[in-house]
Amino acid sequence: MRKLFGYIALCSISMILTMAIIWIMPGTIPHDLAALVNKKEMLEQKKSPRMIFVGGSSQLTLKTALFEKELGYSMIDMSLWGGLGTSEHLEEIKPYLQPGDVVVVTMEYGTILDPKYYDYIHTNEEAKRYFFLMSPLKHARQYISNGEYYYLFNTMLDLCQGKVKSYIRNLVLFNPTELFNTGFPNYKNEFNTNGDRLHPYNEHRPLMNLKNTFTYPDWKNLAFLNEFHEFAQKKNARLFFYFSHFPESEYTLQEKYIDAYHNMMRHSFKGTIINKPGDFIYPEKYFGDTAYHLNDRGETVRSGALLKMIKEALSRQ
Amino acid sequence: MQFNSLDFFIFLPVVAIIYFALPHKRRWIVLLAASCFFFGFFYYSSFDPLKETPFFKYDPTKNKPVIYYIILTLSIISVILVNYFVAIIIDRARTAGSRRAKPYLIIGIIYTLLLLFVFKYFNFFSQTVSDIASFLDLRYPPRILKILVPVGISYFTFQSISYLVDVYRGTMKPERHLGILSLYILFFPKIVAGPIERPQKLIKQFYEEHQFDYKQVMDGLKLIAWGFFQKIVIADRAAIVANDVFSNPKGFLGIYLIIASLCFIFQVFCDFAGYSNIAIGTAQIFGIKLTQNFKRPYLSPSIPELWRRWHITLIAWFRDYVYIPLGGNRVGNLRWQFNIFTIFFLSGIWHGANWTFIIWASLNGFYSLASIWTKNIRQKLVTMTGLIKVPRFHNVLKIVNTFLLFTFAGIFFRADKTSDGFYIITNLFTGFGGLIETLMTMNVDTIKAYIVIQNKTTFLGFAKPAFLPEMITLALAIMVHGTIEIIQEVKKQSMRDMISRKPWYVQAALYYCLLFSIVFLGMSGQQFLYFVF
Repeated sequence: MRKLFGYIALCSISMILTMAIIWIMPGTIPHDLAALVNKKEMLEQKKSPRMIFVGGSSQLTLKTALFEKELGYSMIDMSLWGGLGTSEHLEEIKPYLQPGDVVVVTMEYGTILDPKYYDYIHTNEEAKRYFFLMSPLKHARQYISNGEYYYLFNTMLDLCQGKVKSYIRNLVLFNPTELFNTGFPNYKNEFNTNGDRLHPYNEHRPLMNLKNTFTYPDWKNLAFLNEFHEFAQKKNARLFFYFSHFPESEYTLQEKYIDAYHNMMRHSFKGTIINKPGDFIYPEKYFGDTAYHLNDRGETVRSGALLKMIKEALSRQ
Repeated sequence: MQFNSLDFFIFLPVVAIIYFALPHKRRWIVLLAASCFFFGFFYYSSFDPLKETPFFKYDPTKNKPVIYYIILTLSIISVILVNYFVAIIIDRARTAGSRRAKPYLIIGIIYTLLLLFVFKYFNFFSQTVSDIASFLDLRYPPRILKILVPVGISYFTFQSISYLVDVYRGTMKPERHLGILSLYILFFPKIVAGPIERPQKLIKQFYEEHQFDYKQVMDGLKLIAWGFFQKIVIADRAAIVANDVFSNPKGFLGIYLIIASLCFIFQVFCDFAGYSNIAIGTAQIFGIKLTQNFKRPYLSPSIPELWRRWHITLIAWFRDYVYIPLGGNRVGNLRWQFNIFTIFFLSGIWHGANWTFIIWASLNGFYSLASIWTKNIRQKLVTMTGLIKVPRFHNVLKIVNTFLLFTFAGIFFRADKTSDGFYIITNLFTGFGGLIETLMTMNVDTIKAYIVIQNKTTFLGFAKPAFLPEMITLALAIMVHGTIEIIQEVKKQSMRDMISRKPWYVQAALYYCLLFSIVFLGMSGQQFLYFVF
């Protein structure tokens, strides 16, 4: 019996050691959210003065090269997926904030006005897992202090599994140069140096129907913005907020909720709001595959307008 | 409780330690209690009042689940008690030379089959009658029973019947120990998905004293590890592709229907063979030998041979309790062929209350009959084409042919509806012309645009960035699995035996690779396919 337990212990130790080695070794993870790692690296490397965009996939196609040229700021588009949760995303950015930084935040309407989607965002495991990958030590400490040892192990194992699959892919396809890249496997072909998505969203009709799932907003779900604003002020940084784009047809259906959201932000948000919802209400022809994704034409219009608004806001301050 | 759950990894060592710590006389109690816990925990852990699964078909708005649990428990207890008393009565009548043994046997079998019918087939039967009625312009709304289905009901029903028949035939004495008989029905490694054990083989093992045998336990653990490799590295990965395509076959080109069909055929084998290996390995830890259920079926040179190597204990059960009583092959040619087809037909019904299973099994029955009808023609063809001079190549062709035929029939096994099955088989080659034309352009973007399904965040069930790594992993795992199967087939011995003769460092390296693949390439959370049968 003792010999048997010895072997079982040996097997367990060998697997834990293997996991530790895989964790330490650089490697990509074949998951869209692994791009958070590349975006974090960009955040660490870019020099002041910086403009950091935080939001969902609606902001991912932004043409920040244009902004860089016009405003003279280093551009960092941290946007990736609305399901990550803006509050959690801003928490990840806090340690990297520098004096003079301008943080521009937008949120897709569903993330605030659709209670089911809101609940999903703040409980989904995928987002947690990839935020863990972004700053493992910070999250590991949290898991340990909460006594969530199994969850910590599971998260690390899951991420190691992703790395192993990437190693296998690169070895089988003879890609030795990509073997020890980090983050998302195809990052350089999918994103530019500012973190914007290189390829516009494809057009797909009909656009996703939101099925009247919106309701009135709750300030407690938005209060984190003021908390971040105060943090940014202490760091001599600024927080700008803008209302996202939306198709005309959907806006007509959800107008009362969006207006309530606008009013709530005007009265309670302490940072700078640089637009009103009506500014980015576009016809359907500007949209790609969903109500949150602009096609190339729509993005050109939106980026141009947003640049103007940011310029005005900067000149006011 | 599922084998591929953390609960099982706690449960198994705890039960094993208690089992070996107790004197032999008390060990059956540990196994029986563990089996009841294992069975009950399955319902407890997978209970979701909002979700209807193959096991939960009740209506929580109308009835309290506790009633269903009581019905479920009572029905299983009743099967055990009926088996216990009827077997004793049969034995008494048989030894007294009375003719009453047969009616008692029939009563016992009918009661067991009746429960199987109510739990598993009533809804199918009711729906079929309703469909026929509506076809005839008659009104007969189907009556659907919303009940908890006992997991593994098909398995323990067959074990119960074999027990009664064997007592009737006099090949075994009735079991007087109710606890041991209960254990025979409920023994946890095989309760939910077999192997279907015979009473003569299993019951006596519960009486034998099993000492802790390090070598045997290690061998069992290795078999469990191999079962997990089959299940979580191959079957669960292949299942993602198969599930995505089979859930909406009309949304896919022919090439994807073919890929999904191939994925399914590996899934179903690795899932079930994996389960069987885990079950056999688990029982082996307790010193109990269960019957091998699969013997490299995909290396069979003919369909009848494949069925001698696939789900061996089920086929053997049908052979001994249906085929032979029907006359087997000692009857006229037509009757013999009828007997063969009957076995396949019944095996289809056993698999599930759905026409898709019946078509699947009937197709396999047809293949078997066709192999009899075309025997002479095929022999002539082999001689004419000169294949007879290259027996190895001929054998490979036969294996490939058998595999493809089985894969083709497997489409119905997996299809959600009969109409889906027919759609898939008639559209397997749809879009091939366009695919070849696109490939001829040699332009990566054009090829990508043709093969990648637009406006979906996933590709064949995987998130797009994960698709390629997952498919490469699946292909590699199938290759490794296939190579091991071929080596075992050629050398006629198990891989574990072959490895055990290698130097320690080779053994360590090989088992490290096995563990590595389970831990780092395993997928989590998918239920075993054969649980629903």
